[in-house]
Amino acid sequence: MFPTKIKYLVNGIIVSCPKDRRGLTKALHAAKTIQVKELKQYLLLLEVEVGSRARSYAIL
Amino acid sequence: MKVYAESVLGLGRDLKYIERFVKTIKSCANGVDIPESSLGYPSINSVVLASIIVNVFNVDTIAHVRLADVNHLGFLPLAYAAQSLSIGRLLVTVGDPPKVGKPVSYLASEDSLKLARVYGVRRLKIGAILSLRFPLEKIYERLRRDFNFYLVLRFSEKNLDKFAKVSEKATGLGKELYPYVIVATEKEY
Repeated sequence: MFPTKIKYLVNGIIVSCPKDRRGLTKALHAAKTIQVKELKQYLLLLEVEVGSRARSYAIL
Repeated sequence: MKVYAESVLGLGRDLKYIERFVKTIKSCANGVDIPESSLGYPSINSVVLASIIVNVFNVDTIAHVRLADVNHLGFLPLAYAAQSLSIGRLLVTVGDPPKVGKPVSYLASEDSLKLARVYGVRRLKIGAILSLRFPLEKIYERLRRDFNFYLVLRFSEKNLDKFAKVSEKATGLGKELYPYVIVATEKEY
């Protein structure tokens, strides 16, 4: 699961969900909750090959 | 930790749409990351869009410039605009090959950074892409360049230990790190 310690390793995260605006908003709220409450772990980070690219995905 | 929402706007998106988007994300994000012509398909110019979001809606932005599409004189006005119009951060990246026309590709990220500084762009934070697929030595070498921040690719649970080392190094060098997290939903994945 998305470890809360990440927030100490980064200055910020960029949440991307170009084809699904509702998904983007949901993810932003989840990220904010991690930031504020440090209680729940919402996002599963995966590395997925998309064509020639590997991208990091988060599953809500 | 700041949270940025990525936004790519194509033709047909007007000021009202931008306003709706900013209102939607404003309560749950600190800013907007604006790629330029993702995957080589044309989009609204990121510096123009960032200027509106910063100056009209008072929301922080990261604007991207695709170096595949500009020469030296094409890049400098964008850097001047970004600094003059209070855009917080400008990311320089070669980008994917253009789907319209041919690439210019005179400038690498480091060249554009030097060019901007030589031509007086001193206040603007300029950043580059940092991929975790490279070995640590290569990543450290890139961190030692004069960029102010890095957008991090291939950030995942598998390489969190590696990322922790990169983060420690970046902190020591005073560099900012912003990993990409792409949300997988039914429409997206």
